[in-house]
Amino acid sequence: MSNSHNPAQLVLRPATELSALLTSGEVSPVALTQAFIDRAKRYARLNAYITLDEEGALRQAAQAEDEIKRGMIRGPLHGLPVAVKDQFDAKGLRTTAGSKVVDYVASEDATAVGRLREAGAVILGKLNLSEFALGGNVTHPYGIPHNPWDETRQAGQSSSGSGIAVAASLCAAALGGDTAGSIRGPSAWCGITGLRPTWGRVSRNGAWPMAWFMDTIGPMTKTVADAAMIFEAIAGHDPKDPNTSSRPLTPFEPERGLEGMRVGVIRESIDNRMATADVAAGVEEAMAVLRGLGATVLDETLPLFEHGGLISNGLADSEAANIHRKFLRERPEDYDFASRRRLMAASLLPAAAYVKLSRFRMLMRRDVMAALGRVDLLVTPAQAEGAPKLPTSTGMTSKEAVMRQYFGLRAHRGPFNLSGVPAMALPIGFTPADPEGTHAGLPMSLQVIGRPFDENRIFQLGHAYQEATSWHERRPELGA
Amino acid sequence: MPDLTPEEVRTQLSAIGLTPEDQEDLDEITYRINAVNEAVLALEHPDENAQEPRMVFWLNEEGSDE
Repeated sequence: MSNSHNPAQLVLRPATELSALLTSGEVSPVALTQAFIDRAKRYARLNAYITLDEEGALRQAAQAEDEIKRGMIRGPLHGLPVAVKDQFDAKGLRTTAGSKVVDYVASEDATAVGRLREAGAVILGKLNLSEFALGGNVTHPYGIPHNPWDETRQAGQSSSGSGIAVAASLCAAALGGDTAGSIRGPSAWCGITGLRPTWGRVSRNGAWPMAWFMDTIGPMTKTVADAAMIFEAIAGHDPKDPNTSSRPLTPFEPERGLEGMRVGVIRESIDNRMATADVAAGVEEAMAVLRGLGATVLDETLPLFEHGGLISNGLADSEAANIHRKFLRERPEDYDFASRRRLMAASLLPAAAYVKLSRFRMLMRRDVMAALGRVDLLVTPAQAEGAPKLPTSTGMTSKEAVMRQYFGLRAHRGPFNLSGVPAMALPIGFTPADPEGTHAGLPMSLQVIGRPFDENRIFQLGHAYQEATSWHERRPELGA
Repeated sequence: MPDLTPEEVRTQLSAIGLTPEDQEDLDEITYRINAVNEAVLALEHPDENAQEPRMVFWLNEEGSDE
């Protein structure tokens, strides 16, 4: 076996490259699956996985290997080892939703997981997450997720394990869930590509809900091409989720360059210290790359931008409080203290306030759609700063602290989950190294926002950018 | 609008069957709900009442909102 086909090295490559090697028979699904399992066990300290299904994954890989040898190739995911956020049911595997409150073995696959299986993917296991995908918890029943670029820092919430597993090459690709930023946030801080699809593109059947009208499931991957490959496997109408669209899916076909594409930079997301100077500079450099590829870059405006966090969190938390009302009454002690306080507070939101937030959601959507009428794509930083240190408390010691930290003047993702539009986190560089030596630079990320059902245009920009840059090719140094 | 006191918050929680674990819980819940109430009250927009809330967004064949 040549070194280039050594499974221990192959795990570092993008899923699309692995797909070509697997379906051509050049690489064994069993050997590749074993390599990912070995690596996941070696770096268990990152706490990416809640359940690593060694036996089941190797059994699936053996079946894929047999089918591929007999020429029965199901598609590009055949034999590809992937993992899914433990927010989604996978038949025969434990579901915890990252909590101490639920723990059961699923009798059916979530639709998105089932579609991965039907496409021939190997399910390695279930990935760690913030409690019930809420985000904001301080304690983690299945281990604190550590950012592979600096293990003293956060991986992002709530699809933390998915971000870690992809960045640290503990799976070839992952599924995450995004209600109010839970794919884009961890993707940004872990330096990977993550797509929140248009609401209604991917079935949520079999997924623990947070806020039904904003919940989405999407791919978290090393590259944009990987994301498109996974997205095409999981998207489409599902009778078990009546809110999935039956709109046909057009396969993504990369084109060279971005001639004629109009990209709008939302100034409110960067100006007036809404992003750190490093991130703002990173966005400007990314725009220079896009101009070089032929795009026209314009300034755009979203006047309600700074209220995105309040509107998004206010609505999502109220929905979550309703979902959790029974558990909150009967087993409050089993929740993380931050989750419990947040959900109890949201339980008291006046109905009139919920209605007002719903009206402001419509205003946000109106403004986002108007901006997307003037340009093809919008961009903002996906996170306003590099990953912060792991928290030890909520820090919510006054009303003002809540306003500052929780609604977040830097809530860059809220406007777009409120609007139901697709958005992707795309790696665009690294911050300077930490003077204390805990990291050599933290990932920075661009959020690319498209019109509803126009994921392919987002992929087009992202793929062209990755063809012209190499940020997505960097891997964290994990040591022993 | 005056802030809710911790005791008022405890009473409201009790009315819906919820009980804070301890004083720290109650204090933070109080900070949180007072912050949301104040921030929502401060939201203003001239078109606010012209927008009827919809939970689900779809597009017609031409690509605009239905």
